[in-house]
Amino acid sequence: MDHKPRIIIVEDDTLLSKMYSTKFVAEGFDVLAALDGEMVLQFLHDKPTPDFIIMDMMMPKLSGVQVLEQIRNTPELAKIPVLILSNLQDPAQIHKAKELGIVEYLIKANYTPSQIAGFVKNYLAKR
Amino acid sequence: MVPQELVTLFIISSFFAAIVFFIVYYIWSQSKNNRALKAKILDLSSHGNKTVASLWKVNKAILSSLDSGDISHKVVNVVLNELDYLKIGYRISVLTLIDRKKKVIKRISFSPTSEALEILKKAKVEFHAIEIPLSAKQNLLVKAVEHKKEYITHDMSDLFYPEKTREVWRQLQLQVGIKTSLVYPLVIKDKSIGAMIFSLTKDEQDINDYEKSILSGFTDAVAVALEHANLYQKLDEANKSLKDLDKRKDEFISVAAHELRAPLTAVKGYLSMIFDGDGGKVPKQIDEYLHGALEGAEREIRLVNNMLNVSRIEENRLIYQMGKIKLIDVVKQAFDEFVISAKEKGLDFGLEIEENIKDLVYVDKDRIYEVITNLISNALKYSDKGSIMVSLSNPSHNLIKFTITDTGRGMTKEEQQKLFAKFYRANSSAGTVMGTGLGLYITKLLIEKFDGTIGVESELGRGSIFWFKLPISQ
Repeated sequence: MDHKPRIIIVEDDTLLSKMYSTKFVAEGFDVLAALDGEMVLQFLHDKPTPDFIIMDMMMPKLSGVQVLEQIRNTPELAKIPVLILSNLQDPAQIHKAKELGIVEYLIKANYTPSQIAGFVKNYLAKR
Repeated sequence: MVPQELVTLFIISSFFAAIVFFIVYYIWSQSKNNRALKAKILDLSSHGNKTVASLWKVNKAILSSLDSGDISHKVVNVVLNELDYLKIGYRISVLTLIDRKKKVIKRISFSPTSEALEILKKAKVEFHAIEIPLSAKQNLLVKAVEHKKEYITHDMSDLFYPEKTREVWRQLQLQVGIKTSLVYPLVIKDKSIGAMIFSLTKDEQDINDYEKSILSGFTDAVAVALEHANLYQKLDEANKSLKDLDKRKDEFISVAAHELRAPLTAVKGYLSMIFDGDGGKVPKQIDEYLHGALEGAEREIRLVNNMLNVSRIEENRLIYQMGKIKLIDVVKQAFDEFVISAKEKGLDFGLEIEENIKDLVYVDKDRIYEVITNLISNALKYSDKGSIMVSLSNPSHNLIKFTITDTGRGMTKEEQQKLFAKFYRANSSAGTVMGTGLGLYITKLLIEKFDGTIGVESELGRGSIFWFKLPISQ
């Protein structure tokens, strides 16, 4: 990677959005914070393709599954790794997300920001 | 002249002949009476058998269904077709039911015979649109349901009044050849729910008792069948609305848990960033306070997680990733997780595994890991000194037993009995050790889900032994 790793964090809770953004900036990432499902699609359209996306499930406008569907159905975006980071633990939703292709489905409350940053760095380093 | 003797002889012989004739006649007539009587008895008993058979047939046909629409269509055809009453002059069979709200008797279904269709066509009425107000006291249907009695009439307009004029129905009756109509109320628990009409092409005196007893038994069965269907429908509706409520409750719990977790995640996340040194070095005293805050946040998260899990397990909504796993691996992994904290507390912490143990079990790996860590962390929580021993053994060829023995505070017999109940926390521990009171309850639910058993032996002040047994998978 000849540039800083680019990440989009999709999180509608501003408190959490700010927390994860701070952590990833500190870890040397180029961070874009999207506050809803439409915003992330806009970013994907306007900005350079990210190396990684962290996304919530329950969001205003478009749900995580809906955004994921659009990403997977757009050829130039289809291969972007997506990590779902949500407190929603509905088995049906988890199953749906996994079917659409995700790196992992993590329960937000169970992981600290540095664990998540570590996870993403690890994943990108292995690629 | 005829001699006197001859006359006397003739009189005497005539007399004898008369006596012989009388005797012969008497014998003959007696035997005829007997035969008639015999035939009558035979006829009655065969009718009796036939009645039972017919009613059985009728019951079987209509009581097997719980769908009211289905029953309505069956009942009007059973008498004419199943019992072959078409052959003995029965032409029309109609089911009517009371609509208490509208205070009318509604026509529900009829047998589509040519006579029935012709009457409807010529009268230019839509069958289902015929509604008889309960206030129309002259109508025979109203009388039947009101007095819970059967009625018979030669005037078909009695069944339709006040629909159209009486003359219309009398004309139609003549045209299709209907001579008599029978009305039977449908009574259940001493309450009329409707009536059935049978119209015939024969006169009243040609209807025998046997036919009447069949119709009476039949209409009783119809009332029961309709009541069953009605109750079933109500039950079905109640069940549906309960399911809907249950679904909405599940959604609420899921969303509530999600919302409760978000702010906690922020608290936990920011604290962890401080401990990671993201904001620079933290003075020791502040670090201690913040660890207190973190512990609180983590407990809250555990509580929410446990509440969610309990409702999921109880409602059978938890999805299990079942598979054959080696229990030793999971126990070792869980054991390793607690080595450091046991050391910190100064406890002897050991793992003992029987030689050549059979340990293949069919479980959800993550859940059984949860069970084992819960039991170890409990033992650690309640032991301040001494030892904690974890062991695995085969008490029989088809069972594996996990045991954790501590020298902690122990419990009274009474406490042990309630230990696996929801939200129960032993008195000897409450107040000093934090917990949700759900851990052992969930543990028990999970072990039972995996076809295992769980138990405890303990003595106050001397320690506890918690164990679970699981069937070995082949």
